[in-house]
Amino acid sequence: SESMSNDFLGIPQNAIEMIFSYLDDKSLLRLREVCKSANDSVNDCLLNFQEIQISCYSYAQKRENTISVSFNLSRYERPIYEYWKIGLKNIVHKLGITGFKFSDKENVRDVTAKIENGKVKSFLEYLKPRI
Amino acid sequence: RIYPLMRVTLTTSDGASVTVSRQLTKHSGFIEKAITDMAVDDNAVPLSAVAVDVDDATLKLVIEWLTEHRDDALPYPEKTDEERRADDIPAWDQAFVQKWDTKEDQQQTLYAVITAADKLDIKGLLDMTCKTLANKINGKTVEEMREILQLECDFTEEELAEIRKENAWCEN
Repeated sequence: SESMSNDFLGIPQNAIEMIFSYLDDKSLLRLREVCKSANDSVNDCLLNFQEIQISCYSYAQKRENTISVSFNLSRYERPIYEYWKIGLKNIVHKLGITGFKFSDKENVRDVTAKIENGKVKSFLEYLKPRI
Repeated sequence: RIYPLMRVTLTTSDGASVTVSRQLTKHSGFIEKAITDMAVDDNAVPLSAVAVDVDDATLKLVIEWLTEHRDDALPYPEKTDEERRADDIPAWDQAFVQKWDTKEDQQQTLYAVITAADKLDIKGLLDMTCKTLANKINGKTVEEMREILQLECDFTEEELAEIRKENAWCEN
């Protein structure tokens, strides 16, 4: 049987993930700066965005001045999707994009956005290094 | 069907035996599984043989919590991302955890109870203790987090700069 843990990073992974789920975005990211083990632990959950491959399956002009962008991350585990949510929410906030939706259905990792024409380029520029 | 008057004997890693009612153990997915699936003799469940080394002191805390929550509805309600919040810990639970603050090893006690709750599959206790720890960390600086979690920085300056750069993508 397993031994009881005397330190934070020794508690079961399931519990670590639950604790992370109750942290706000900034606190979770800040935890990565605490030490190597904490960084690894967060990365194990929210992981390596550089390996993400976004497959655009919809890119359509719905209205004259709006483009609908949809992509899904269903091939990735939930924690990676959650990390992307953190990043995408930040981008959306900075660019003032409205109508951005994340699917919260289990096993469905859809992200959809209706983006004004003038903001599409900026949005894709933000994403480019991570695609 | 669960018979609430049925007694279950739990044996801890340090050899102590505790007998409790099935009304309490029904909240532990692990113990229920042990009783129903593993055909344990005389409803005696040796925790160390199959789960985790839960010691006597930790098990007493677990049982204290189970006793207070014996009438909680089962199964433990699943919540959506929108419904999940860390600031809804019941008053009794808050007082229960705060009692540990007087102990020198209160952080270790919290880790031990979290680990026991996870291994014994007691969802309500696991949820509450994880919220408690998250609340201690939320909104704190990196240095404060190190102090609370008793972790030391082992990054080089270059490594730390790289992580800050990655984090900035989300934070700025």
